Amino acid sequence: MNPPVDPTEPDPLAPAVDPRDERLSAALDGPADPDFVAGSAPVTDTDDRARAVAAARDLLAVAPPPLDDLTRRRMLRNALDAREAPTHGRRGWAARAAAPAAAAACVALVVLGVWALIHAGGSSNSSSKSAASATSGPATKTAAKIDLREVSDPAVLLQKVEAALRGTAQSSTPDVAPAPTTATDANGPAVACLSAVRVPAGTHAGVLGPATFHGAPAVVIVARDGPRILIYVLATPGCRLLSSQFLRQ
Amino acid sequence: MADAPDLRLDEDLARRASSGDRAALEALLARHLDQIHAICRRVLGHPEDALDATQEALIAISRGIHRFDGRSRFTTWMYRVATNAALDEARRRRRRPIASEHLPEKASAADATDAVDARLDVDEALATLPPEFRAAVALRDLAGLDYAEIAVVLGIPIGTVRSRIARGRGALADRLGNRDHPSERPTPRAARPERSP
Repeated sequence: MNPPVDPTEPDPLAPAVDPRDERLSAALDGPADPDFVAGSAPVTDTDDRARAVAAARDLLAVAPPPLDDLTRRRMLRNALDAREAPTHGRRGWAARAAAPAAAAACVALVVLGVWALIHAGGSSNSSSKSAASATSGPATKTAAKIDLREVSDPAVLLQKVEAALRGTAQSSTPDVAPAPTTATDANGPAVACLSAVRVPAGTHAGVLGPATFHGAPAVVIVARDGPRILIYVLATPGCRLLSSQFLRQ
Repeated sequence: MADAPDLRLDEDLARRASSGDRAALEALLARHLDQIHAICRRVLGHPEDALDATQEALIAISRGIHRFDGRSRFTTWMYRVATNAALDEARRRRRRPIASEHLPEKASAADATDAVDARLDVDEALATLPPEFRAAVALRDLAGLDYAEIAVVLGIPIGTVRSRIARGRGALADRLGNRDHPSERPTPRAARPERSP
């Protein structure tokens, strides 16, 4: 329960509020304000500011888009499971969703990192980086391995990246396919997008694979940032940031 | 605001959930998940942070429902938990370095639908305000709480509730006013809260 409130206490955050805005706003709320007196604060339709404040109120009443079913189910399951589980401090919803995959992802990343290092020996002039190197070490030259297809749904994007990092995408995620054999050539624009992603110092971004975002060509880039795997979807060509997500471990 | 049957259902589910009924708790959380998410989303102005805060709120409700004593409405308690989760997330966000700008909705804006544009306006206008102000606005305009309930949820005087709501609406009204004068409209980058590189 919150402590008792001193009604005379000034607002410690208190940026200036236009007294007229306050009157107009309170008038819009009518009886919701206990100090409201009917007819005491007339708001006329001819008043531009009154109309703007009323329009703002209407816009603020529009709820954000509802969560998708997959996210809802995950969140509810996490909350119900947490009731029985001991407290381990705070972890984000994505981390809770990804926790079972995290250990497998780490193993897969180590294997991919070794593979990337081996193949890097044959090429010294490449600037491209793999998803493995992005999450485990130095820059290497590898083509994107997986076509992630449609990733405009954030929950689907997370699911596909989890699956891809587990290395089981082709077998367990029907809507993920091997990249075409020309992936290396087609990967030029994707690799170019690596430089468009701003990642923290000391981390490396890598191309996970081509995808589509609302049907338009895109590329998925990942980077490890401490306990997080950052996920970026960029348009190809153009490298415009379309979406970003993260997984926590 | 919820009508009487909704309130009775909430209180019934909350009572059963507090005594260990898992199905009742699930039903209760499912009933209010979207509203909790909406509050978190509006307070934080950022989709991923809102998901984190929503999850934290759901877990806090799940773990704390046995302490809900029914002296206040369940929704009042729930909104307090949700608002605290969102404000905690906002404080954490200030402290933690972010890898890059998270602008997922900007991509949607390229499609230039009115709904997305309006949502951007709301987020960007409110981003100029502290999260505590956004919380007051969200509790009033999204949750439909009256000033007295908001004062209880946020632990602030009613006069402060009034001024915070006015400030939030005023910021958005300013932005709407600039729609007809694009040169005066702040850029999305400038209007968004500063995030560490």
